[in-house]
Amino acid sequence: MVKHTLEVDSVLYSFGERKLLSDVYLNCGTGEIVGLLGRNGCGKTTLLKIIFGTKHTDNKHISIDGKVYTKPYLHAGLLAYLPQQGFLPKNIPLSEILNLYLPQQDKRNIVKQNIRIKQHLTKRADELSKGELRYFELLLLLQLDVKFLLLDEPFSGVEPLYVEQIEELLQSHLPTKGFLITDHDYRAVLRVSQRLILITDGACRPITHTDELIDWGYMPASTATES
Amino acid sequence: MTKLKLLFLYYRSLHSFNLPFSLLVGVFCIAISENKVAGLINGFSLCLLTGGFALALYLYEQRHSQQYYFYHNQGLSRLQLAVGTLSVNLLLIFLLFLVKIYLLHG
Repeated sequence: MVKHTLEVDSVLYSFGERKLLSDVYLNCGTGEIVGLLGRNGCGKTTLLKIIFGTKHTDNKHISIDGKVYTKPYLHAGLLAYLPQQGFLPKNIPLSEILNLYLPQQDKRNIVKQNIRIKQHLTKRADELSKGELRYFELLLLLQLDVKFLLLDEPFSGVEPLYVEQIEELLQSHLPTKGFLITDHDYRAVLRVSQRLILITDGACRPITHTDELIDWGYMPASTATES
Repeated sequence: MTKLKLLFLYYRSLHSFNLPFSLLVGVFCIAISENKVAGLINGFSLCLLTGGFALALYLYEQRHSQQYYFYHNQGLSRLQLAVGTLSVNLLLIFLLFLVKIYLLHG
């Protein structure tokens, strides 16, 4: 397995007078799923967009395999980003999206022959359920030749059955990719992640035990026995 | 090739508004111009490059801003999409002006 490394450091992001991100360091390697947790408005989505390169910030240091990039998304083969809301065009069917997005026939076929997708190929993105759409979006991005995937709430609004299928999908691509994942379904994030990072007060704090999530005020104390 | 196809998709999305809107402006310009062909082409071209284009960008931003990630994931920035779209329009207008010259002086 070829191992790639994504490193994020020195991210500063202010929103008006408020410093949203001030002490950020995180890394991710191929074969790793790093879970980003944090309360609403703590800067998880902002951080992912800064890493991807679509959000301007005062300062940042993003490197992949030791090479620094200011806008990684403009360089082929580095990153892909799954945004919170659906990002697929709604005026063309899924089959046309696949033909446009995946030039390699074998990759297109992987998606087209997927048991959960093949009956929807003639539909448009807005004709799918939330779970079906999220699954398709993820499957599509997983076929891209990128080293890392940034997933912003992949489980949001998705029924438990699809959550499980999405988890399996991520696991199956671990040999070739690394994942940064954030979601409010913290149980799913805990299950799927090898490492956890909590964003609180603008800083990234590595979490080694779920009790720390309670200590930092992310999870209520009543969930201690569940985890 | 993938980027070109995606640019064309973006062009289609943006111009589902811009083209009919600019055509409408062109038709309006017929009414206020002495030369109907010149009025149509001038009005259509000017709107396609300026007001109609700006309005189409604004509406796309309001209604489909999330879809920019569809293009970003293939390495296309907003600026590249806008410049690409504008370039296609410039080519289209160049051809229209050749038609105008041919019809008026040819």
